[in-house]
Formats: sequence, structure tokens, C-alpha cells
Amino acid sequence: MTTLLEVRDLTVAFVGDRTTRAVLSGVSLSVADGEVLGVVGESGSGKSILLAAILRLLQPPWQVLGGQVLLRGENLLEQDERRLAALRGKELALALSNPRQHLNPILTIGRQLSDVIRAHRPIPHAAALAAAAELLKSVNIPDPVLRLQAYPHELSGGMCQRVILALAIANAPKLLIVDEPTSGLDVTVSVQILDLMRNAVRKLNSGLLVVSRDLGVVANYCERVVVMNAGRIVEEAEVRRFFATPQNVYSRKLLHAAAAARDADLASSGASPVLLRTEPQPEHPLPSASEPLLEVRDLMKRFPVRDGRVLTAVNDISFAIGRGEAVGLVGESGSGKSTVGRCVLRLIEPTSGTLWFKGQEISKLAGTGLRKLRAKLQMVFQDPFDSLDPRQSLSAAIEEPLSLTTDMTRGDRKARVADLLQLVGLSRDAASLYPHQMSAGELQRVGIARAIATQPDLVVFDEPTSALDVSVRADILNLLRDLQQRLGMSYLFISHDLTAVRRLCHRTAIMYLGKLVEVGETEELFRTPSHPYSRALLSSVLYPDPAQRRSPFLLSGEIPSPIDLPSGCALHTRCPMATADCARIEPALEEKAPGRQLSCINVAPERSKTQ
Amino acid sequence: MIFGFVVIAVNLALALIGPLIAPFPVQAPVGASLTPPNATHWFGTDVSGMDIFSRVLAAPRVDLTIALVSTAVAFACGVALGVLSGFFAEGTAIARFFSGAIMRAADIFQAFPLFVFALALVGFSGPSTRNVIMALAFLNIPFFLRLTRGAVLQVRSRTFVEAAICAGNSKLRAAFVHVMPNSIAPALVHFSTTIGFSILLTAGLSFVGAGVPPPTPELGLMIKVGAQNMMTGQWWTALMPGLVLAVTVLAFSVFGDNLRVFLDPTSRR
Repeated sequence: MTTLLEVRDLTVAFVGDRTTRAVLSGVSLSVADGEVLGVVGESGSGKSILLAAILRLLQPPWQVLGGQVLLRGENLLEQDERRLAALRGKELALALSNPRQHLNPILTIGRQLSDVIRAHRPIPHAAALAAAAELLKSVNIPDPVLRLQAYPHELSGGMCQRVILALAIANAPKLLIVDEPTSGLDVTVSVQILDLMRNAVRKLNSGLLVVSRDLGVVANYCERVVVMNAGRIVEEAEVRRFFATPQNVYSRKLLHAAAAARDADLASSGASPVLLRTEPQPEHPLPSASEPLLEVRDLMKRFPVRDGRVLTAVNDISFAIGRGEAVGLVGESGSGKSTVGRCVLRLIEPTSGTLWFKGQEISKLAGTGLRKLRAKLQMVFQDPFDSLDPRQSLSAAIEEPLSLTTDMTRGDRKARVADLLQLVGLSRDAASLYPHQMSAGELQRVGIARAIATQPDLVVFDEPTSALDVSVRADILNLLRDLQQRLGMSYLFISHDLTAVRRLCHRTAIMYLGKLVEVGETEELFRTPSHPYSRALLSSVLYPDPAQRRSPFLLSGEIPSPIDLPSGCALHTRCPMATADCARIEPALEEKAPGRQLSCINVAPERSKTQ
Repeated sequence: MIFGFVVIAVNLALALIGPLIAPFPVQAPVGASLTPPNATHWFGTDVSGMDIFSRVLAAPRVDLTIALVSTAVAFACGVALGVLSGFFAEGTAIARFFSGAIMRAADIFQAFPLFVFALALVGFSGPSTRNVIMALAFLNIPFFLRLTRGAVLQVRSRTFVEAAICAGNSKLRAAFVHVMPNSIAPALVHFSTTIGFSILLTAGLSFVGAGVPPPTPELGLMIKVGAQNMMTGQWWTALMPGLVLAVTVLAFSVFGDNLRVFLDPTSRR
């Protein structure tokens, strides 16, 4: 392998009116032909500046003060604009995240592709369009000729990311640079994009430079890793060695945080950064099955949309939660999982179906009865900052449910607020603060304190950790597990974060397009997923560990719109196991093995192998 | 900021004590007709020999009272209706109907030119201070309503409203305890500006003869009487009250802008 790109001692500074501050100091790295190099680092580490410097896109006040950027020995820093224009797109190509922003909204996809092609190849427009259609086909966009006429707003986020990739590889670049390739995409789509990207550079024998904060992406797709911190490269290593024995303190911290996201015990014990391969289950035993606390029967929620069409968010689902049980509800965005949570709390009215709570039907409650119920049925929301009234002090926020739904005296309420603050790990001084004075993690603790203030029997969590930083996430999950053990509440834990669900929940239900596709004991379900969608979803998780690279089980295409649901099984348009029957027969969720429910006409669950 | 604050403070002070500190009686002839400004009559006298400076000092009691009371009434009604119509813009069929009805009513009233509408209202009910206040209040309700409704539509989609309902608030309580304080800032800013423009409108109504009856010391009336003498060279008769009117309106407008910065908890540290 010959060296393709070499960066030597690159130094970039922010040159202000009075001060000059180095943002990159002596950065050196290299990429060989056909090699995949990962650049990791937190925001502010200088990754984006490095990319801009390599592509010569730096604008004042940033200035290159020294070093070389050699592409096949040619120093890019010394080339003029004309030469750079010839190189960019042809030899060096960039694919950015946030695809919608990086496509021109007023030009068709075909026009944007043919522009890029014709910038480097003098071919007629029609030929360029034909080449563009080929490119779209190569990134798995169905009906490529038709799509040439489409504008970016007519395509989904995943489709736009495919187009961005097609633009980048249009002229068979020698080096492809991708910046956060999967941010904002659903997991089953993002693994498709990553696979496409890797296959494209393999075919061209090009180098690939992946800039990402996601160690899972790096572990699964890169051969070598470069770690950046505060404008310096602190470690460079082969990917397996890096994840097994990181040398630098900062690298260890990064890996530690990633591991903490998977396993909070590790974070609290401060043990070695080596990743645990097995995840602990919720330790407490499940209370013996009695009458379920919450029972959802045939729940259906439809929203009318324009032209008299109907969006089916929740399509006839039934499940139950026992006392003291934590049930995870997982699915990608648009699966309807949040709608289920809101229906359970009666924040929105179900279209049909009934809800039973402690043996009482609650789907018809209104007025005072409903408000009384909410003392025992609570919710924690995704965005902690948005879910607190900015003009209410934190103690007032926690006290509010107590004063509205209980007969406690003022003094009792104050004492309870103090207890609750302590319970969720906040100091008493926090009580008088306002939301904008606290961090997201602290605010989520307040949201939790508020939800458990009235000692509810069931708490619904709607993605409680997805707005939080990785390290804070682990703390909040620990808190939730701790609270459940101490207070014996039931949880409905709605999340797309599979590792969090695995750690916290006794049982897990997997949802796809408004339907439950598989329900089972969490550990068993994660070990032997049976439904094709469960298998795809679970195999899409990119663990930050090269030894645990995923075994691919791919779905094709994107999630269909919930407005025009596919006939029969909703998954049949994407499922690799689909047969002709799948388009006709709508599978019911049936108990196929003890404790395991499944809705697929083709598969039966495997026997759990061990334990 | 200081300019607006000082002018408004002077206005308020004059509204309280203006007629008391005026050097001459404000509603009676005190000298020769149309005397130019001099040491005795600082702003000169008008056609009937009344001292213009004294009348300008006394004017805020009439103008500011009309503007303040009418704006306060419009603010209270407009904000309340805005919260209701915004919060219930989606929901049951009945809620949507009333929310829509409020907005259509506002549309209809705003379709008339402001000044002509005010003129018609006062003309219909007869010129008196009370009727001018009522007319201006009625006229200003749709502005407060729209501003508040717009803000409410944004605020109501934020999660803390759902969280408040989870905490046991009724919808109405959530609307007025949680949504209203977070969507009132645009209306508050508009409050100050509206006072300024209400003073202008009051003066305008008097100018065309549909406002407070003469010889009340009121800026619009003074300008009206003086305007006839402007043509013949007695500039002070209309210019002095006119300048006072302009400075006052400007002050309230500037103050409103500063108020917005002050009311926004994120821009205030």
C-alpha cells in the first residue's frame, strides 16, 4: 500500500485582532490507498478544522501557520485555486453529515449530480444524467431515473445521505472524507449507509477518512484510529490494539465514557477501561405474576392528515405491565412508541382500544378522575430543558404535583421536596434555582423527582437519556435502576437506546410501524432475536469494540411512511425473508414460546441456547 | 432607555400634579389673544387668550389617563382571549370552534381602518372621556390577542405543558399558570407602544372633533384650535403641543423596546 494522503506537522491558529490561539498543533497523519482511518475526538477537539485545512477550505480568522498536506506528494497548501478546483471532487471528495443542509434545495438531484460529474469530465448533459442514474443505483436508491427529477425536500433523510454519498463518489475520488456520516439517521438506515460507504471505497481502492464522535462506527469500520484532543493527536493505533490497550490517558477516558454508556457499574467502580462483553441484567427478581398493573388492549391511534388520508401511528397493540416490572419499548423514529406512551397517560386520546390500570378502566376517565389518576401514573420526558416551565423554580416544579393532587400541608410538601432532591442526587441549594441555571443532566434529575413526587405506581419514560451526553446518560440510568429497586415502581421505558433498555428492563417489546413485532424477556430477546426486524435492529447496534463487530443482518431501504402502510406484514417491503404470503397476511402477535410473543408467519423463535 | 424613562416619568408626574403647578388657570382666558412666547407666557397664548404652557402641563392628566386605562383594558381582554384561542386552537370540536370564532371576530374588526373605526365608535356613543376610553380599548384588543395567540401557539407545543398536565393541572390552569407567563412578553412590549399610539389616537380624535369636548386641556384639541392660526403666522399655537405629543409617543415606543430585553430571562443575566 502506498501513502495517499500525508499530513505533516500541520499547525493552524485562530488569528484574532489581539490574540493568536493555536487550534491545531503539529498534527501528522497518513492514509494509504484502500485504507480506512478513523479520526475521533469530542466536539472542540479540532476535527472539523483539520478537515477544512486538508481541503484548503479554511477561511480567516483561521490560518495555516505551518506544515504540509501532501496528496500523492503534492503539497495542497501550495496549490492555487485553479489546481484545487481540479483536485476537489476528483481526487479528494467530502461527504458531510446533515444531508438536507448540504443539498441545494432549489435544484433537482439529477442536476446536482450532473454538475459535479461535468465539472471534471467534459461530457454532454444527457450522458452525465445517465451516469448520475448509475450512481444513484450504486447507492441503492430505488427508481434512480425517476429520482433524478426529485428535489431534496422530496427525499427522506436517509435518501439524502445516499445522494450526498453519490455526489462524493461521482468522480471516483482517491480519498473520500466523511464527517459524522450517520448523525440523525435511524440505526437500521445508518448501517446501510456505512456499508455502502465502505464498499464504495473498496471498489475504487480509495482511502477513507472517517471523522466521528461515535466509537461504535470507528470500531466497526476503521482499520486505524487517530485520537484528537485540544488540537493535538494524542494517540494513533491499529483499531484492535486501540480498543484493547489504549495508551493515552485521554483515549482511556473516551473509551471509558463509551463503556459507561453500556455499563454503568464500570463507571462507578472506576475499573479498567476494558469493555465488558456481557451486560448485567436488572438484578432484582420480578415479583410473582399477579394481576397486571397496566393493561393495554387493542390500542389504536390514527391522526388525520391532509387530503382525508390517515396516519396510523399505533396499529392495534396490546400489552401488559406487572407490578414492579420494567418494560422496554424500542423502535426507530416513527415506529409509534412515543405515541403509545402518550396514550397510556391520556395526554392524547386513543382512537380506539381500552386501558386498564389497577383493574380500573381509565380510557374513559375525565376531569377530576383523570387528574387524580395522574398522581399514580407519571411521565418523564425526553428533553429535560423543554419539559420544565422556565419561569418556575425547581422546588416549585417538584412541589406542584404534590399541591395539586395531594392534601399535604405546605410544610410537609417542603420537606418532601427536600427528600426528593436528595433521592435523585441533587443538593438542597438546587431548589431555588431556575431551569436555565442548570445542566441537562441535573434537569433530568429534577424531571424524575417531579415524576416520583406523588409515589406513582407506574412511570412512563419517553427517551429519558437521548438528549444527554454519554457520560451523564450512564448516571441517569443508574439512578433509574436504583430508584426502581428502592421504590418498587413499574416502568414503561420508551427508547431507541438498546443498551439502556437491556440494562434496565425485565421485558422488552419491539415496535415497527405501529405494531409490536416481538415481545420477550430482555436477555433472551437480545440473545436470540427471532423476528426479522428484531434481528436487523439488534444487529445494527455498533458496539465500541472491534472484537464485537456486528454480524450483518440487513433490511433494505427505508422505513415506509405510516400514512400508506404496506399491506399484510408492514415489514415485507424491507424484509430479506419475505415471501408472497407476507404481502397478503397480516401476522398476529402470538405466543410462540413461553414468554415470547412474535408476529411473523415465517419464523419460530429459537430455543434459548444456554442458561 | 434613559430618554424614554425620563419622559414617561415626567408625563406620569404631570398627570398627577400638572394642573396644580400650572402658572395660570388652564381653562380660562388669562391674557391677550395670540401673544407670542415671552417671559410670562412661555409657549404664548392661543386664540381665546388661554396660556398654552399651562394647558400643556395639564394635558397628560387627560391624555395619559385615557391611554393608560384603555390600553390596560385592551391588554387584559386581549391576552386572556389570546391564551384561550391559542391554547384551544387544537382539541375538541367545540374548543376549535370557539378558538376560530375569536379569531374571525378579530379579523372583522381589524378589517376597518383603525382611525375611521374609532371615529365611528365615538360618534355612535357620543364624545366623552369614557366613550373615548371604551372605543380605544375595543380597538386595541385584536392586537394583543394576535400577539399573545402567536406566542401561545409556540409555547403550547413545548413539553412543559404536557408535563404540567401530568403534574395534575387542569387544561385551563395549565393555560393560565404555565403558558400565559411564558407567552406574555410580546404583549407587554406592545403595551408600552400602544400607550404612545393611544395618546396619538386620542389627540387625533379630538382633532377631528370626535374626542373629548373643548375646552378640556388636551393635546389634540390644542393642535386643532392652533392649526387655524398656523396659517396666519402664529406657529406657537400648534407647534408646542405638537412637539410634546411627538416626544411622548416616541418615549413610550423606545421604552417598549427596552422592556423586551428586560423581560426575556435568557438575555438578562
